[in-house]
Amino acid sequence: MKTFKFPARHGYAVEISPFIPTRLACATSQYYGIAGCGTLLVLEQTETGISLVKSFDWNDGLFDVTWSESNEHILVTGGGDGSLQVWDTANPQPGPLQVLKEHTQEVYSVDWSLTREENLVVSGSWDRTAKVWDLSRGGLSLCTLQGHEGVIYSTLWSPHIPGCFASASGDGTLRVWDVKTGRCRLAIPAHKAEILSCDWCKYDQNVIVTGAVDCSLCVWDLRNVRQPLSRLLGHSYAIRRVKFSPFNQTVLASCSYDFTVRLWDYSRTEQPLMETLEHHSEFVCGLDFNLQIPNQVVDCSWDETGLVT
Amino acid sequence: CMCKFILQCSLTQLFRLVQAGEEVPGLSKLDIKPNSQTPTPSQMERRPKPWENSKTHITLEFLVCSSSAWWQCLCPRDLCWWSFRSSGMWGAG
Repeated sequence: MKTFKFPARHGYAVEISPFIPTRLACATSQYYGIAGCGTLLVLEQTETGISLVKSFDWNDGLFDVTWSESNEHILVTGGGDGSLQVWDTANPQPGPLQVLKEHTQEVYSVDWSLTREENLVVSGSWDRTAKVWDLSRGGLSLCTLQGHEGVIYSTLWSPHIPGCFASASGDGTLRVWDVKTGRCRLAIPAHKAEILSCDWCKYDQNVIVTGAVDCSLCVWDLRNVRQPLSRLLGHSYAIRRVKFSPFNQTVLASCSYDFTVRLWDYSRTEQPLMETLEHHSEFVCGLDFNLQIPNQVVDCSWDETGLVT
Repeated sequence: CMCKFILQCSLTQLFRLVQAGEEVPGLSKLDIKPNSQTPTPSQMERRPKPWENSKTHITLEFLVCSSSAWWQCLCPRDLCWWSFRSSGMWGAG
């Protein structure tokens, strides 16, 4: 296990580069994201630990980060001022390349499309809208998707279906959107509480998991949403982020306000909880699986540290 | 636990300061602007994902064709039922 520290910053999101498996990006905020600035950290895992490659400051807190799928130098973050920032790790000039400002409240989620023909980013905001951006086509969004009746916490592209993304909201619904028509295709009242995170199964295009303030994870088959495939209980506080494994169809990881990271296999109906990691002293907000190193998980927390298993 | 108590104290103080419009000690006020430069060209090939092996590719092509089917086969009655549930369950706003 390796750790990285970010004094006076609170970790909100961490992602491993799809190009360089030893490279991490961590979106952090000063003062828990309530006031002050944000810092994007680009880090490298070495034999002995984790070292800082570069850090970028922003004028407001940073709440999410996504690596480009087409260029190893490029990242996008979402900020408390409602803007998205595009960063280039190989550019010596300070500041982002580009700032995309349309959302009127915090951008809590950014995701770069996994579809090879696309170069799209989806953002989810507390202004209740999601926006789709093509970074190669200037600073204006392609479309704005409305429908949620509460803040959006999470927006994730389907890894299988082009132009399709899911969103998780404070209105308790999971929605699935079709960008080509700009419409919501499914609205599922998945929890009786705010849903803070969702993720798509990498091996079954119909399966999504949601994580909510009610401390539960629910795995859904979108062909039959009357009840979940599985309901995973164990966390004692809200679930802040959930990710499906890139290597196992039924394995997922979750992190929580209960300070833990948990690993689950929902095909093990008797005992789906596989492991509980209790290495933090504050909310754990960021979580990611390594796409090239099986079983490696990275997290980051409000306790000013992050961990790589 | 004590650390949560400490966090709650400092968060409470922070909220009070911010709400009162007072100065928060140590708070950074930055004025960073975009540099409008072009991205550094990529030197690396995109790697396939673990789920993108050749066998899955063939399956996925078939599934992509039928994927629109699950959107369309969800009948209007079901969609209305879910909309009704979501509006009724936790009231307005």
